[in-house]
Amino acid sequence: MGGFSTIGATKLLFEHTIDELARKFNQAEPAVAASYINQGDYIGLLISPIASIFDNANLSKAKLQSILDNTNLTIQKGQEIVDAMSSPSKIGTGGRRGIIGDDWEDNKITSRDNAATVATALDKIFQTFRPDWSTNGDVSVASGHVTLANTDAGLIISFDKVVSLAQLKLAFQDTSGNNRQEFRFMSDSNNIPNNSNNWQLRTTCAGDFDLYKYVSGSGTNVISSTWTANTAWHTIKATRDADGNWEIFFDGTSKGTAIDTWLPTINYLTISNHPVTNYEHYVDNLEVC
Amino acid sequence: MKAWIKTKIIGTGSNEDPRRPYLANQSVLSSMMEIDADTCLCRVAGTLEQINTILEDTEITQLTDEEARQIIKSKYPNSNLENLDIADPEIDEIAKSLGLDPEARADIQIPTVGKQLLQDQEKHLLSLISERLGLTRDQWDTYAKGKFGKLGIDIDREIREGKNEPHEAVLNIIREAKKARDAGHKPAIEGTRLVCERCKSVLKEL
Repeated sequence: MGGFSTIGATKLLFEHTIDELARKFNQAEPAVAASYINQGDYIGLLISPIASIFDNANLSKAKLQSILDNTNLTIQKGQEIVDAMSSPSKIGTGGRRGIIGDDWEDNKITSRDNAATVATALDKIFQTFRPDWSTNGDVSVASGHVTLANTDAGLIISFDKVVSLAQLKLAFQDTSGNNRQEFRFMSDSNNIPNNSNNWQLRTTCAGDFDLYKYVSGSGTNVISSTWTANTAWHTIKATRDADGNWEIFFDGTSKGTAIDTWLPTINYLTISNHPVTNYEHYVDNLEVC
Repeated sequence: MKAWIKTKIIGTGSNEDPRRPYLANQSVLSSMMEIDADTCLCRVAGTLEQINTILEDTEITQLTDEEARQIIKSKYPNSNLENLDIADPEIDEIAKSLGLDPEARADIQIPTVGKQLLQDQEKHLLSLISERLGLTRDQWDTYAKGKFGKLGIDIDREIREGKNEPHEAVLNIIREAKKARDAGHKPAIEGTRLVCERCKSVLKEL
């Protein structure tokens, strides 16, 4: 094995302790980059705080597998990496630290498979985390997505991280009137429909797609943009950096940017349905980090 | 059309009446940054008529890029013009009228200047529109050189930095070129003039 030297302030993969790796691989900030460098007879993995290693399109499961299959990497070391990345004690119960994701492909809201709490299997590292949800009102799941079926129906989960990315797919099944969805990705309260302190993306069938903040129950429309209401699936997303720079997206198109550093006490994430009458609205592919 | 304004904050904060910028009762798109509890800096986007109505309101102050930048920097030193912006619906309408899909904005997913994506996506759509109108890079260079002593690429970069004034300068030419095309001309930029390549007439001093 070649000499794994430190390059600048960046350590090579094998210079980190397993615990350091687990932390770095699971940072809450979206900021992580991993890149390969060729140094003679080995491939080293550079780690720097730019984007999640799992978000790096160049680092596929196959490539990570190839690292673990690297003959220069001992079986013991590879196993230690997998164990560390899979261990709740290292990365937080249920998955990557600071990340909530759900694809509902198991058609469950509770009694999930807890896959990420099971150590040692490489598949578990890449499996979307499927947490146990609390619900409000008529909430069901089928065909790999959630259905919020009546007024104020909602999904609720404890969550205490400052969000840098919040994204989900939604589909309204009725686009009349003031039907709307509120995606409160940082909230002090699990109370649906009341708003106390939170940041939320609000999508309405009147054609509004907005970023709102609620401070002590008072709402401010920080970014006011539009979409054309229909019943198709759409992806909505908000990003925020440490300087309070926000950007919101609808189907990959940026709708606006804004600056606001205010944060609520973060206790919950909720996704709720607010139709005038009872209509089914769908939710899928949640990712928050 | 987009503009920087300073305006008062209205609304009670209820679901039906949220706090929001006062925009002279115009239904436009907006992004706001609170200056204090009663006032905000705002970038607004809408039709020429809507924005002009807003700018004519005595309770609203129009700002330059530099004035907006100073307000942003005074409150958020790590932020800049690109961090308070709103997608311009006029560009989408022009794109649609030329047979382009406004969702082409989403072709761009990596920012080239700063960290925000909006300006890169908007500049991309402006480029597609410009190409559809037959306005070439060389033509933009002659305009930028004649008008500002710069190259087209400099204006391009300023748009991606979130500046409003180059955005409006480019959009104004596109607006005029679109009008000329609709009138049967073949628009082209010659220095600081919009001309028709077909009938050789000068259509507009830019």
